[in-house]
Amino acid sequence: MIGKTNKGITHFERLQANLSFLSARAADINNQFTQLATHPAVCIEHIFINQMVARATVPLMEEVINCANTIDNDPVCAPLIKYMEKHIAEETDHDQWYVNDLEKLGVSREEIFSRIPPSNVSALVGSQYYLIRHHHPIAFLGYIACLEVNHPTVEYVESLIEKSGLPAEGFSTILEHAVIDSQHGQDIINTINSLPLTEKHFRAIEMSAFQTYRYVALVMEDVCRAAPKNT
Amino acid sequence: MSDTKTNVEQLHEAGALDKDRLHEDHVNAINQLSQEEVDHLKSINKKIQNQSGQSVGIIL
Repeated sequence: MIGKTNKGITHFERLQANLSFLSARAADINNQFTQLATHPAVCIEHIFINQMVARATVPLMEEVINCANTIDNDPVCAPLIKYMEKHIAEETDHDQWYVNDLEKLGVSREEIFSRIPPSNVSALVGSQYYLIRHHHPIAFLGYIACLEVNHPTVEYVESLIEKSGLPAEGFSTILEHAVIDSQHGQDIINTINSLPLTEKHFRAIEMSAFQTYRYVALVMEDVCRAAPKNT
Repeated sequence: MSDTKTNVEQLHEAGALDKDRLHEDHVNAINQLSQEEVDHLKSINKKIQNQSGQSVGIIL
């Protein structure tokens, strides 16, 4: 059956089961962030960091297409390129949306683009460039699966706005993603399950997801450090 | 003493994973985690079953 492994579960179910311990750590750190959202500086840092990650999303997907086009005789490459082309259109300009939100929260464009990204952001995104270019571009699906399946809900974002006391206009991008990522999350699950993955492909996706959950947790720990020292 | 054990052994003993189900790539990746990350994984192990699908904070 398409999308089922030889153990009768889908590729995505296998991925989720194998990495549940790491996704739980990332979710637990996010819970710590949520408790600290009463500090406006923590919420602004969260949006700032999301802008840094979002500015690399479309370039990463373009890199996936470039690298997949150089691989001969691999049946996953054509559907991978098709998915990326569709998803680039869906993700275009989201980094600019975050810039607009940050400006509403008092952070200037100059501040946004003059700040050097924290090393854990570089590790989160940079490890994907390495896997895409020097291992196999299919790996990037692990990154997308982690970030788009585990998305916030509208109620959750509204609670962040209320806790922070910041203008709701500054959360418009996160709020929009609480809506659109429900479909994007299902799309990436369906894509992974529909691909004719070999064990080598699956492990590339799995190790990409492993690194994504690991670095997301470290990035969010950094975000939590924006809280005043006595909290 | 726990500090002489690998990350995989520590997490297996804490019930966070089953080391017999891991392949070499898993083992290598898990053994590269810091002790701080491993200690956190051990401490949240009891919550793991309830957390799948929750937001992780970075949003695409």
